[in-house]
Amino acid sequence: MFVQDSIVDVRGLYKSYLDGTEQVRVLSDLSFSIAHGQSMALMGPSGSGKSTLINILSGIESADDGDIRLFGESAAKKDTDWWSGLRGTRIATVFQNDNLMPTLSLGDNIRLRAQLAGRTKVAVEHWLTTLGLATLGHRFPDQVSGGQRQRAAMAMAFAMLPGLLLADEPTASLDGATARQVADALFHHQHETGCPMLLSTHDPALAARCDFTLVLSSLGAQ
Amino acid sequence: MNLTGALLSHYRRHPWQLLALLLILIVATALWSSVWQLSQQARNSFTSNEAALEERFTVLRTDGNPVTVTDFATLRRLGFCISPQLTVERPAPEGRIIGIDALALRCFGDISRQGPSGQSGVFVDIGEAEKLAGDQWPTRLTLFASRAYADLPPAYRIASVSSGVAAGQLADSFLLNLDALCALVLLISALLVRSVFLLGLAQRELSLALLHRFGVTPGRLQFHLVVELAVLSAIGGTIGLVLGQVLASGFGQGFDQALSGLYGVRLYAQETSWLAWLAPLLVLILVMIWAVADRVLFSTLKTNHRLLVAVASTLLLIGVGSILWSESLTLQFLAIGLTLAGFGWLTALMLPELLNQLADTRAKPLTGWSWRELAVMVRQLALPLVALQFAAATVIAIHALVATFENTFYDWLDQRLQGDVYLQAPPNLDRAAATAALARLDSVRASHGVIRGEAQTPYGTMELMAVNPASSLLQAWTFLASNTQAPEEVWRAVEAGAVLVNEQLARREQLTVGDPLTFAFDGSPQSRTIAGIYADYGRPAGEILISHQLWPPEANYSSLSFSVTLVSGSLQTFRRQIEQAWNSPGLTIRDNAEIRALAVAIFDQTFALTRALSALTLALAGFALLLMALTMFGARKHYYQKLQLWGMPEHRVKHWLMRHSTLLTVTVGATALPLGVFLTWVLVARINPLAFGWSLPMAVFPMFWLFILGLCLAIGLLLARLLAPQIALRAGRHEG
Repeated sequence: MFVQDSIVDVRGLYKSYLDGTEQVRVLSDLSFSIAHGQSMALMGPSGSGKSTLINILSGIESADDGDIRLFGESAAKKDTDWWSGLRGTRIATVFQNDNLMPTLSLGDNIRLRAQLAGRTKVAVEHWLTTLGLATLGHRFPDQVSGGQRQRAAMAMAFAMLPGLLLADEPTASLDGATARQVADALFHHQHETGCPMLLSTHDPALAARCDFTLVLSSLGAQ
Repeated sequence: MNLTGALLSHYRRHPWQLLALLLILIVATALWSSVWQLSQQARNSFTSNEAALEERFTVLRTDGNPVTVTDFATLRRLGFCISPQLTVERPAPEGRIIGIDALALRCFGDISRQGPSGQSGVFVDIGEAEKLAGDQWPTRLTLFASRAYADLPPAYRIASVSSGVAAGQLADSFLLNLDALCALVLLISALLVRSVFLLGLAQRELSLALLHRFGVTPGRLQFHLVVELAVLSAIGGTIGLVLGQVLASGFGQGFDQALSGLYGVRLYAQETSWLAWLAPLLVLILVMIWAVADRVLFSTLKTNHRLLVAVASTLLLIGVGSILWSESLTLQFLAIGLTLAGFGWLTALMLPELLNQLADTRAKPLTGWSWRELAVMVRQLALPLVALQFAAATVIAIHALVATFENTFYDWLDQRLQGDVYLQAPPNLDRAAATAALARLDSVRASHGVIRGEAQTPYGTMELMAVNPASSLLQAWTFLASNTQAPEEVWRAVEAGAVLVNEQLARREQLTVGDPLTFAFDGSPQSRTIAGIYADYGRPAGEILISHQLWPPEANYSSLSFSVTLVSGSLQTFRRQIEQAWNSPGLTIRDNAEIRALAVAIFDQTFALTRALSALTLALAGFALLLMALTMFGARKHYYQKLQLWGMPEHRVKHWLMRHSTLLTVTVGATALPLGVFLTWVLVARINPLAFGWSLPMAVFPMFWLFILGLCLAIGLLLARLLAPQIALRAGRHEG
């Protein structure tokens, strides 16, 4: 039974991998939903399937079994163009690192992401300022710190005005203070816009800031 | 696990990179060593064929009369080191006999290198040659001097036999061409090996840094890397040498025919000694180590972009300047090397700059990313791209040279082979009677005689030809230079007493139309005006052409031949009639169509080798680019995948990839065009006159350029096709 008005609704999801000759199950009978304005933390040990779930929700991987509805529409039997459309205009993803094109400045990275989302006019300066990068728009990714790169990645995600934000351990590679700054920016935007968010993390404090937490074990959801 | 094992683990993890490196080494060595082996064999053949490459001197009489045995005796008595040579011209199959005086040659020192001969033929004692000649065959006495005596009696003077271009120099030029091709292949191979090895080095940077932190000294690491490259070069090189041997024997047959056709030298199959194997292998290992020495041995060397641009521009300027001003063939080839190095280097330095500037002026960020991604690709693939550029430019130049020569040579051949058959008159035949008898035959529609002899000129002994300027068979001739566009007017001038000279003589002595030419013939000095200059491809000798009316009936000639157009086309009828009319059985009569076919075959074989090798070099460069791009793209695919992650459909991302790969190869092809055209100009306008004494018209072949660009486009499309699977958006191993 799908939950009405939810942006993400997952029912009975299964996923396993072939490791050598052995079939390894990472997600087993997983069900949850996220409504507009909600945030969900995804926790679990390494190998429990956190990234796999984010990949499935962004159409990079497919599930073995189960139903997924995104923005009220079933993802069953949808082709790659449908998924590309979602990733381009509605689903923003932020990873632990490698979020930017190294050959473009921070400002151009934001413009590029907005262009791909079909936003012809984008307030690059606004997003740079919002994330504390006002003077760094012309710099290239290798000319700024790791924290600044992560904030730029979030500026890119925010600039496309997404309907769903998927963040895969966005603060894992940052020091404590920088990680807090990045997390603050993320939750501030989520509260401001109501954009639903799924955030995978190993940090219990970060998970505690979400509306609810889904803990995955190596055998699936708990 | 020791240090070697740790370093080699890179290739266990990336076996394709090892395979790519070995494949490039094998193919490059095979190509290079095959040309090298052919070149060495040809060089040995020239040496063993007594093609004395030294400049030789002859003694001439200042009154223009031919030298005699009395002159020889006079000069020897005065203490000059002079040696006589009696040349007896016999028709095929006996051929030329050269009589020499072994006793007189003693004062020449090492006769094998400084001997008076330099011609092909059978060498016998001078007395024996005289006996063989009898009264039956024409003879020519030449007196060779051991050096350029300045104190000869006034009745004599010294002339250089090989003034200008001699056969020895022609052979040298031919070998120099092969050596240049060898050097180019080696240069391209070095570039490719450098690119693959440096890529491996970049990928091992972390491992090397870690080993350094574990206490391994930089010297030890460098030693291991050099040994690794030497071992790889030895393995790849040995396999390549074996393949090169196979390739060389494949080319050998055509090459042999080309050499014997052009220079009368046979390509002798030789035993391959262990040294012949070791030498190229050592050269290869050294070149490969040199190719990466700066990075392996001086990894801390800092490079300044502006300085590099300045150095590359200087190399280019010196190269182009030397091509324009140098008159030495060796310097010309060195200058070509400098030009290529400068141009290639500048392309690799400037192209990414240009692309980045385009990125700065773009309207959309996606376009900006595209230009910058392309700039990164150019930087990372600079070496194989420059190798492709060199190979494409070489192919363009060689095609233009061969195609131009083909057209010019065939036209010239048709002009010279007028008539159906070539008839050689036997010696001592009454010229006037023989000509009249030939004209009376009912099987003959038209005939045209050529009398040959020698003329003494201020520039040495030249071949003298006499023809009937009114002959219908001469009216199709075209001239490189004359005062008029109409050939018949030139022939009228010849009929009135003017002369024609071949291009070799005109170039060597800087003669132009209207200049007076003085020469002595049959004892009488002459001064005539040059009415025209004609092309005479393939022969280095200077030649003067006069009207047959200037050749006195009683004057000697060395050969008399006729071009004959037959009425019925029946060669047998004509042979029977002319042998009866001249009372000379067994006459030499050759079918002009067969001569043309033979000449065309020799020409085709000569250039088939060059064409095949340049095409193989292009294939090698294309293959290396594909291998390199496949390896390099592992580090770039991430950014194409990111576009998909951001919602760009896979087919559109693949489209961008294709746009990048084709733009990359077509741009390189486009930069190869001006280089190719410049190389063509250097070959026809600079190298050819210096090497062969004649030049070719400069022609360009835009359709062939399109073909090369099409080829580059095909390489780009193939590259995109091979890279496309790498950008498919698939998750790797999952940590979370």
